[in-house]
Amino acid sequence: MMSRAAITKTTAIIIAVVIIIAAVGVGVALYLMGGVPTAPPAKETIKVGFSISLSGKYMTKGKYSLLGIKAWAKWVNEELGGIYVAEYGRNLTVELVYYDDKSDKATAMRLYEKLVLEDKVDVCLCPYSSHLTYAVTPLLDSYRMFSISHGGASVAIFQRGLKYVIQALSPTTKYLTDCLNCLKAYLDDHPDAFPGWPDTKPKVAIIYAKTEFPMSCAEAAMSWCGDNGWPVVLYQGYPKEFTPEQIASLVETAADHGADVVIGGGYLPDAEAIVTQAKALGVNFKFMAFLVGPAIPEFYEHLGADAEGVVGPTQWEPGMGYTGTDEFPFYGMTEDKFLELCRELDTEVLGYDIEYPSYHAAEACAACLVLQKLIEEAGTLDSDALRAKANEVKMTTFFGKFQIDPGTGLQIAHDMAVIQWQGGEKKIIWPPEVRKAELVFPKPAWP
Amino acid sequence: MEAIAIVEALIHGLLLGGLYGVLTLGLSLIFGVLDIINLAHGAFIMLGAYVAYTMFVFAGLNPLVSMVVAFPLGMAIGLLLYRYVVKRVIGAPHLMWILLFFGIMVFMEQAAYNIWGAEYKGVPFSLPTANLGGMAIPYSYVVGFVAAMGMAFGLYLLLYRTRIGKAIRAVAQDREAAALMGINVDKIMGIAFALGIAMTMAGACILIIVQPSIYPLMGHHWMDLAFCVAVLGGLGSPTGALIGGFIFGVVETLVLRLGLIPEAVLAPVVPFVILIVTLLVRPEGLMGARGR
Repeated sequence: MMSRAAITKTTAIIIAVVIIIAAVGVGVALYLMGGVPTAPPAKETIKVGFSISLSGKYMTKGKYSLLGIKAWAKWVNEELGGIYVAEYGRNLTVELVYYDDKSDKATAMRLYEKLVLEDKVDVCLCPYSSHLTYAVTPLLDSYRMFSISHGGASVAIFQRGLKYVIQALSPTTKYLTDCLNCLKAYLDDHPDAFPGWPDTKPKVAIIYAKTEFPMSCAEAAMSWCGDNGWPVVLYQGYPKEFTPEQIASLVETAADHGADVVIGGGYLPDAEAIVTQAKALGVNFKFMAFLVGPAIPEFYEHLGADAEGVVGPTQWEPGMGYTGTDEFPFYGMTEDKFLELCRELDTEVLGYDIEYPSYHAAEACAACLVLQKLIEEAGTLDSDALRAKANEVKMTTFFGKFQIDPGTGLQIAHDMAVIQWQGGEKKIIWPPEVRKAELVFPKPAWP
Repeated sequence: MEAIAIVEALIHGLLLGGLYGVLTLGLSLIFGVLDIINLAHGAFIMLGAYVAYTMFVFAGLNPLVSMVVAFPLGMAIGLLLYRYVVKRVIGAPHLMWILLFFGIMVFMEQAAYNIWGAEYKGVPFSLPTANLGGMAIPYSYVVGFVAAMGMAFGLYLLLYRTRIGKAIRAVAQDREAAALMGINVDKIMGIAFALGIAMTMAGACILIIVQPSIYPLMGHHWMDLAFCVAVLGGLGSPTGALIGGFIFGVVETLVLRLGLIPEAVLAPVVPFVILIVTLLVRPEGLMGARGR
């Protein structure tokens, strides 16, 4: 049996060995972790994360959106020296963290998880298109990541109780209704243009591609007609991939029902097909307005004189010249500055020179200006604070007015521009405060 | 519905049907001779459309004239593809050529994205519409029909009035017997494959006269339609492809104009209903040989 002194000595040795092992272990752990934790470095940048379609079917629009985002980042960093964030007491520069989502929903979702969890971005921009935005926004909301939609116009995105996502562009409900508002305003000013106006209203045919975006626009147009007493003589969808006859039959039916107005479509091929078939059947409608297609220069390049008089909605056109109002004061870069920046960056982002960017660049840049304003006003990057500030802010950018519905985050102030091809040129005919020409009604007969 | 409207619908159906038939000729010819289904048929329609677009951009050619470029280009592509790729799966299990052509299709679509971009392209080629006794007859339909029938007649002359055509028909009928007769079966199969590709690409130049939008994935829809028309007419029979095209064009037009389906969005069901009925009633198709 060990003596009392021997037990004490053994105990002391054991304790010493344990302490030494523990100390070595802590030291190794600290070494692996990079040293003793110190206070975090001062924040230098605001990391804005997003996925963008640089390949796949949304490639062109995705690249234009990126052009607008980069134009904003360049302006903020080089001309303003960053965004002042009161929480940090200083200007923070903008750092864009983005990846190619390949126009694919699953890829976009993975990338946003990466942006939030690995890249630890501060705020997010949604991807281009309603399709991708619809997919990623629940994920962003679950991570309480404040995000702005610049390319997702679908109302359905915002009907799911999302808390941290807001919309910068006009929703789908305005695309065709603003075209009808334009026509109604014209007829109010020129009642002789339509026999019996205002007691007799034009007959409307709504034919649309049966996919999410056009369906949403068509439903809104149908409601508008109901609210305004315009008879809808045909309301029918057609398949996303169509043959010439499938469109021809709808055009023929619309004509048989005496339609004065034909609206709807889907994308550029749809608008071209409806115009082509209406001409092929020799049917002259008084007013033709279609989604997406007519606002794109290729519409006239492909159809030539057949495109004359066709109307279309667009989120933005160069030369709109918004200046702001007392209620919606102007904020951010001017349109001229935006165009200048786009022309500086076009080769880098698009790979070629442009004179004017598409509206996708403008809406993306405008979304970033909104983000900038909210950060400045809130003084923090906290999602709850940004969302609360978004509920209050009313502003105008070169893209148009901004105000959201506090409950859903839907955009409620931005007006769609409406254009009409006149003499080979795309003329802005609506809204009244920025229009450059008057609607030509009825639409010229086929050449 | 008035009688004149029905007659108008019939005329439109026949005119469009001729185009549908020509778009199917290549698919039928390749199956008839090589015994494989070109699952990239739609991608070659897309490629032909882009050839027409490129010829318009660089040389100002209208789509009909572009056929003169698309056809020999299709022959060259077909010959190269057969020589270095397709030949390896002749006689192989079906899964091999299914995967091969699927891969070719994906490759071509992605290449199109990179070469021409994702945005829609088009060739301005607008023609007026004639009024014939109250019926609207679009010149675009008539021109498309005439060009399509010209191509079909050219194929007929090749197959039935030339030695090469005779050899093609012999190989399609019985490959071993043709070889015993001294026909270079491998060479003939290459020519037939190339001819099928060339016809498809040239047919696409006609297509964009009536359906102007060109984009990388446009071929999927036309592949579905061409397959149904080919089965209706008899896979392997170019004559059957034409007849199937006419029938399909007329049926589609009448079904839609007479309102026999509740919504236009159900229109894609029509070719597949025709496909199912054909398979149930006469699986070999209208002009196909029994037992195939």
